Amino acid sequence: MQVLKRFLVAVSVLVLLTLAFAEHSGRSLRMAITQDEGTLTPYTYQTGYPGYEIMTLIYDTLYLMDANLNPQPWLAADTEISEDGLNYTITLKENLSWQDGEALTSADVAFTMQYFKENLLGRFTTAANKVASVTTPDAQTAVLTLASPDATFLPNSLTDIPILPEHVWSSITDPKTVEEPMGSGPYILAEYRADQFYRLVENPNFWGPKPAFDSIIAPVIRDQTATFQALQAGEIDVAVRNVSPELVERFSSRNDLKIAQGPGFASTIVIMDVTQGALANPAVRQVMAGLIDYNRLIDNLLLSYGTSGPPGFLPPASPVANPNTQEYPKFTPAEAQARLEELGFSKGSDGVYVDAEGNQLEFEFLTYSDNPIRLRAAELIAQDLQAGGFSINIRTMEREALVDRVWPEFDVSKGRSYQMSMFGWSAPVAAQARLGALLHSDPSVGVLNLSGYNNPEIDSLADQAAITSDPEARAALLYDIQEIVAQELPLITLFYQDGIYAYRPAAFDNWTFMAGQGIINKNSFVQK
Amino acid sequence: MNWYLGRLGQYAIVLVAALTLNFFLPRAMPGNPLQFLAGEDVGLLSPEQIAQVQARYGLDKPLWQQYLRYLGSIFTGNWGFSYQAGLPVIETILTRLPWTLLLVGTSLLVASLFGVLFGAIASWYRGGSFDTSSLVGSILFDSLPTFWLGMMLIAIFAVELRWFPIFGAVTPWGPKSGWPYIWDILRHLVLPATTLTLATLSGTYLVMRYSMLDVLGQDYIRTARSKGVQERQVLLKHAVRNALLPVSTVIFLNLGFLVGGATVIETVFSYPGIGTLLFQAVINRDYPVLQGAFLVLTISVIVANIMSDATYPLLDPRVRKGAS
Repeated sequence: MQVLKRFLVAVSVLVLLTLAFAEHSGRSLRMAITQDEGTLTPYTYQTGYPGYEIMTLIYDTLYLMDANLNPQPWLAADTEISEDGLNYTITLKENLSWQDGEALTSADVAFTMQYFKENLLGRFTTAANKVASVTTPDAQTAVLTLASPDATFLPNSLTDIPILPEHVWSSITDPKTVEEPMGSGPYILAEYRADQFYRLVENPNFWGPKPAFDSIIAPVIRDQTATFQALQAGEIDVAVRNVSPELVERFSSRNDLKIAQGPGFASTIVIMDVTQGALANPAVRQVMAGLIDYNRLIDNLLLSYGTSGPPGFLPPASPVANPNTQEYPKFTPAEAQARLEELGFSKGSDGVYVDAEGNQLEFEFLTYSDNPIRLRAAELIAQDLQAGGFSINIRTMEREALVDRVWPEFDVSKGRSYQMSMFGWSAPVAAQARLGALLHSDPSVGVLNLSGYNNPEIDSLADQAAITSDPEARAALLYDIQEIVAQELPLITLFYQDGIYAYRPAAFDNWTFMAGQGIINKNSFVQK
Repeated sequence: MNWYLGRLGQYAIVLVAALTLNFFLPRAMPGNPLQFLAGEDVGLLSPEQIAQVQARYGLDKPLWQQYLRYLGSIFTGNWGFSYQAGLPVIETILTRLPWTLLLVGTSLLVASLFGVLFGAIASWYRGGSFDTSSLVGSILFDSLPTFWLGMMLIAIFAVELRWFPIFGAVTPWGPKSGWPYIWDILRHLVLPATTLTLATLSGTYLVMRYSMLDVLGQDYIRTARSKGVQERQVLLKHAVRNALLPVSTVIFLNLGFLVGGATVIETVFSYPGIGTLLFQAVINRDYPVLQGAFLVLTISVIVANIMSDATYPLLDPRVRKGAS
């Protein structure tokens, strides 16, 4: 009995000890992430969100997007753009330093551009390739000369490219194998355990605004349910994951949790191969788009936490969204069938319409097996279209297999082998209004043109927009493009899901909600 | 001796076949690892640049050349770098292996012990209340989806009662050494190990139960009883020992899959094991990690088989005699 008693005492002491250790203190943040993010260098982080956001807590960019998507000087103090739009004279802030104490100079900027050009990486090589040459008149000044004028260079590229320390990276030949990140940013990576957690600590010598936290611990919680159970149980303070709509009400009613909500910029769309068959006919695509009940999608799948459409692709929260292209023309099933008959189709014996040659309006519709919202959306859309005389065969596929059909080798010039597919673009495509990339018929410009859409009018508008730096003139060109898109529908934009995030205000309550991107962005992690 | 040599030859053939499959199966899947070699926005690169990326990793070479290079790399121990994480494959596997061994090993041990125990008791009292309830219970746990079982355990024991943590293998902000650290690891182990045990218990239990029933019907049990041997002696010495033979095969086979991890449970509990590593590698088409992890898995299955073959004659004299 005595032994048992002693054992029980020992166990309770251990339990208390663990509990004591489990309590966190001071300005620390426990932020659940969804998967391992590699070694957090620009070459090894894994996901655009939240991987890029965490990587840029360690590395800095020349400019930083603020909450309203306006670029603000970060490493740069000021930039002078020459009249012809080719020369960017960037003056760096004074007394910039790397986390190891070395000074950060214009030579690092020049080195970074060169390094990303030589060591290919989709996101940053593309941005760096816009730069033809760099000169460094002095340690604080870098002059970037572009190959051709590009109005998006500062707002899209200079806010995106992380600056690398030359004294570390000049000897690195295979950037994929760098194991220890070292930048100039507000946080230093103190500990990394693969598939378990990251621990970032405040950079005591940070040149900029004071970091908001002493330490950030980012555990990997793979399962969505477990993530929000951990949040409710107080094991974490915030999750990078979107809160699923059905949890919003429960979280809102709790005193210890808060919800931050705003428009999201990640799109959910239907893409179509518009190069052949009936789908090449814009009038048929209009009938299809008019049959879909967008509000039903939003109500059923997002419990109304989202924005439907719009036919012009850019969401209403985008500063360059055309307010006239926000609604689809509607078709009831009867109207749709009447319109199809006008277009020369006739009703077959099974209710599916056929063209003059006897080809049925029958399409294979691909969707992701790992995304229940897209799968359910595909089912609802198929119902809507079938009511109007189409025959839709849904085929679920694993992610890579689907991409292989719609975007073989990530190169639109390699063609495509699909008819319709659920798809979506990540937030930057809408945030940066990359309509040229989405729609241009030249594969080297229209790198995201998965529909194979070809319209000379759009090409010329997109070409002009790319070199127009006056914001109003550029917006006017983008408006025109959206009007054509809404008319021609090379893709059908279904909805933009709201960003909904939950956090414990007791740990931190000063989050910055960036339009379309949510609360996990660099602005939230430094003091205002 | 010849018997063992013959066996070894068979295993060598199995190994080569498995190595070949490990190489070709991942590549037969549609899709490719480009997105993880060239990072996000790989679509923004020009076709020439994409070709350059593929050349850098030798993916532009004909498949047979890649295959020969792969075979060579296995024997030189240079398994390459993970496409996703940028870390050496061996390091990637070794950081996950201890957690998988701990999780799967613990539950294998517990499931085997309780499986044998429950199986023996159930068959000894065949038709009794323990037999019925354990049989129903084992079928129930076997048919419950593992992730659901795991979520229920989390909801009850981690969220409501707060007895155990919800995720991970250690507390990231917790102790890093000594007894508190070990205690922390054990607390994190309880729920995933319990889930895995409940999910796998029925296999051993059912084999043990049927094996015992078979043995109990044998002549030598009747003979023992009629000789007046005590019931306890009959159970332990005559019945259980003989009934354990097929069970040992099952346990050895399970042992082989030990390093494969338990993907679903590792995902539900965010346990950093081989299962999630493999799953992520399949999704990302991370060929080097797939090859490395499957190689480790293949070898451990073969070793477990060899151990099973080698120990069987020791356990069963009849096999020993037949071989000599």
